[in-house]
Amino acid sequence: MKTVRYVFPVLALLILGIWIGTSLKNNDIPAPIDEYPSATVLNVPVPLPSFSLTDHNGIEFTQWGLSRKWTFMFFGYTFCPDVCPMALVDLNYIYGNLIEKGDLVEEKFGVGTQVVFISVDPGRDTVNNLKEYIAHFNENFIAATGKPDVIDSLTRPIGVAYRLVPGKDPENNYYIDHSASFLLIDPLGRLRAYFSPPHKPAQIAEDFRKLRNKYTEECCRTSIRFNYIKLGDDEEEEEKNNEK
Amino acid sequence: MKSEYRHLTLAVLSVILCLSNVSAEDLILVHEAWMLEAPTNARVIAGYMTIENKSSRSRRLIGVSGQDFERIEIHQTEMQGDIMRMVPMEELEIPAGSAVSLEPGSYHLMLISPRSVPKEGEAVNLELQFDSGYTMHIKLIVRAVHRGKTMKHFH
Ligand SMILES: [Cu+2]
Repeated sequence: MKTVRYVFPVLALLILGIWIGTSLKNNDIPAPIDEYPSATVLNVPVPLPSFSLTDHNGIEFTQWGLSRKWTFMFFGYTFCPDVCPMALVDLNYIYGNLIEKGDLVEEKFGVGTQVVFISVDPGRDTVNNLKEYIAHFNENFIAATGKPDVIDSLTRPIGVAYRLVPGKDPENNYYIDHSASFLLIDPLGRLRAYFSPPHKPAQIAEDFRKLRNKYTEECCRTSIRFNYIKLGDDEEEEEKNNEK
Repeated sequence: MKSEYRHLTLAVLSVILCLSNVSAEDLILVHEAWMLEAPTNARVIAGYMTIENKSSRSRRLIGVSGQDFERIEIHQTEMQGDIMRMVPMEELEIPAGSAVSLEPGSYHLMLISPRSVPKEGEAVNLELQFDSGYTMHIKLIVRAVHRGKTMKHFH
């Protein structure tokens, strides 16, 4: 008799519970599918400032070197033993994956892909150092560096941070903490996405293809010109370049 | 009767001594010791391995040396947001019955100022010093960067 008395309320509660449960489930917003698992994509791309660096062959490397190419850009230094070599091995994997599948150059607009390593340690990374270093990982990669204020003017607007840290070693007396993300620069010289560590190169290659499919056209077909944040006295030069 | 006991005691004693020798030396194992083939002008190279402590006591790696390098430090790469920091460590603890991996983006040996940069397939000799007083001799194998085509990822 006692048990029967409890059956109804218990049953009622159970039904209520199931009802609440299912209604919550129905109202659930479907979880967004992560379209690019390895990448953070900017809704509004950030134009890189104008800059003048020197590449591993001693030739000037400027923002125009980013025009009509997709660029993987990575900031580091050659005295970096762990993070930078592994990052360059990963970038080499990505580059190799594109070559292997025959799409290093995008088909529709003929836009190529390049890898640019920028040293934030101009004090120790000379042109010769950079040449030998970068060729070890991939002979097609570009390495560049420049004056500290030029490097800072480039890194600051795109959120790349680095700082010198004293080491224990008296000979090489500092290390550099630095951002380890790969930046993806579009063919108009704008930061479009970045790949944060830990890097999964196969996934990055896949996501890069998707990003390229989606965004190459707007860079090549529209009237948007290759543009960048103007820094004072470059304006004349920019006009000259745009006239070409 | 007396001498028999003495023999037995000696036997037991020698077994115990033997065991303690084993525990001092053989209960630390090093697997997969490697380094990435570095550019010929590299001034620092990272060394990786897994150190396993099969003993019942915690062990600490307190120093590393190698004739091919000016000095060797124990480091940890730490991620703060997307910033990679390298933090020198005085020692590395290998807890009893467990293994610690030195791998890219984590703990590593920092091999400073190589006398010459070793090539793929070569090996470099290192000595690991533990707090127990035990020095272990190991070989680090040099692995290549595979250029231009898909390669095995080390993670
Ligand atoms: Cu280190």
